[in-house]
Amino acid sequence: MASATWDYWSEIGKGFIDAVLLLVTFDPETWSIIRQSVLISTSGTLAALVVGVPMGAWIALSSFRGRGLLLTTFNTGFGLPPVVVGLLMSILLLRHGPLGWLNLRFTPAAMMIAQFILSVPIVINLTAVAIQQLNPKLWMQMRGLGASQYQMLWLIGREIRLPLIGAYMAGFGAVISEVGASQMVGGNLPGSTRVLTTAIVMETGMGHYDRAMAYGIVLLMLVAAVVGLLTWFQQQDAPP
Amino acid sequence: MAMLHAENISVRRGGRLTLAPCSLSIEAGERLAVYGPNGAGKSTLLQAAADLLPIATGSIVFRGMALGTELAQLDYHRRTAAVFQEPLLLRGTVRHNVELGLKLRGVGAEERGRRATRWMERLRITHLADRPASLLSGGEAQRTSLARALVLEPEMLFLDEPFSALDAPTRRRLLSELAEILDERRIATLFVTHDLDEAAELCDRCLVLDAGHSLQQDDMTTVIERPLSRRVAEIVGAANVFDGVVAPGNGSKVAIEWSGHRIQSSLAGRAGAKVTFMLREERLRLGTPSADNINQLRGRVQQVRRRGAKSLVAVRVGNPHSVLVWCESGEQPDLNQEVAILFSPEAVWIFPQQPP
Repeated sequence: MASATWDYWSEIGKGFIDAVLLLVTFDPETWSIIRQSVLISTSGTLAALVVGVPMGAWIALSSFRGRGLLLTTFNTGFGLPPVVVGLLMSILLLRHGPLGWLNLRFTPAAMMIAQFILSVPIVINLTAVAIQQLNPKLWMQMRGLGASQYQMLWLIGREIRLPLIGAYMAGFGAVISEVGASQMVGGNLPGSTRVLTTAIVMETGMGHYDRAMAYGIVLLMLVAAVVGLLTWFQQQDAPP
Repeated sequence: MAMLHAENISVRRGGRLTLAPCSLSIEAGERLAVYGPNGAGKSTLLQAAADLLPIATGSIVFRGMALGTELAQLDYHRRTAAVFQEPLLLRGTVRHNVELGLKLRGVGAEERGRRATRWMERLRITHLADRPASLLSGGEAQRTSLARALVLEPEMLFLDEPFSALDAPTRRRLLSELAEILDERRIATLFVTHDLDEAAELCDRCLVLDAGHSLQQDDMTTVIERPLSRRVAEIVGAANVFDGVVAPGNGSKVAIEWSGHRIQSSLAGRAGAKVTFMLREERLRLGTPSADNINQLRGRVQQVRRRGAKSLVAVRVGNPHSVLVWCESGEQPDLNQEVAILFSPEAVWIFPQQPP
């Protein structure tokens, strides 16, 4: 029993050392996976910002019938299971499916779209809340100062940049660590749609704990680095 | 040509008329106070005149140009400036906030810095230039807000109760500094306030607003001494407002029968008509009855209230009527002392607008 425990921990320890070696020796496969993960998740979240910020602003600033329902729908998106998004996208992107003609199945683009769908409700909601918390008279003051429509949007963006950074952090954190949608729409193809999360699942299944751990460590470091950087930006601007 | 002329502007909110059609006119260098109780619609009128709120009816003409047709809204906003009750400063330093309007107008960094420095010095906030706006006190924030508006050198300034959230000493100091700046620059100003002393110190004319309706628009003295109606008198704080009946008078002077007294006025009136009239507190005095006085009301001192260096004395002149008279604190009578209130016919004001 004691020997089995020793073997277990020595195997884990070896795996950890191998993981570090894979990273520091710039193992091409490992770095290809890291690159694809960063690329796909960053693009998906940036697209969510581009669409989600104006949409959140629109919801916050307009009053129309069904506005509450729309906001509730987007809030529901917070708990959207990635596998359900993956399933729906897979069905839509099947060769004979409604979007099959796009030939996007098992491509990085399909993964970006899935990650966009997962992160956009978060961005919309956090933007809407940030704008609703501004003093409504601020708009009047900006008009009174002679701001054009575009200048007003810019100034408002500047006012809510802390919550916007928070929205990006939340969106990025949600998509880089999800596996269900990426696996289903990406297919885990090496050099193309294999990302850290799908690679961890695969390597663990194959008993390659060293690689799985290396990818796990990188994933944690990546999330910590991005969130740390954004937090630093946020704190530069926060009131003391 | 008026600097600003608003004709019959009205505002609707949620289907309700919050400002009934109202007109106002401000000449170059002139300062108009919009005065009224809370909820009168003063801020709504200012925001409508400043084109910060959509108007339901009416038109705004600025320097002879109709807003929306001959003058673009953005151009109007860039030739005017507004300061609100809340300073509404944006994220960033004091300097950033003061320069903001200039930046929006595309003024170069060098000129921006020069003008901002000049106005920060003028409003005594230079030492705060690099301080985040979020760390300012109420007075400092309002000074920054004023500097942000004045640095634009606007042709027209809209001030929406800018001092009401400040403590009394800060308010007095800022008011007098602002009056000095406005005198020097001759900036046309629309000033919303619910403080008549502030309005009188800063403005030449006054528009009295109540429940979304404009009641009177005149020079400050006329509004205070010759209000058009009982309601205006109440709003400007007149205490001695009574109902009487016009009796046949002597020559040009009309006498009013009231509470067993006969009061001579210098105004015309139809004998037998019911009238509401006002005795101007500041023109009444306590003294010894004599045949020389045209008007004298005898009564007993009911109450003496200290108001700063003066006292306000309530004299019961008939049941249930009391008349308030100002007197110097050193000369105040004793309670229950019998006194006479003396005044000339000019101290009597019969409201031109009588209740139906």
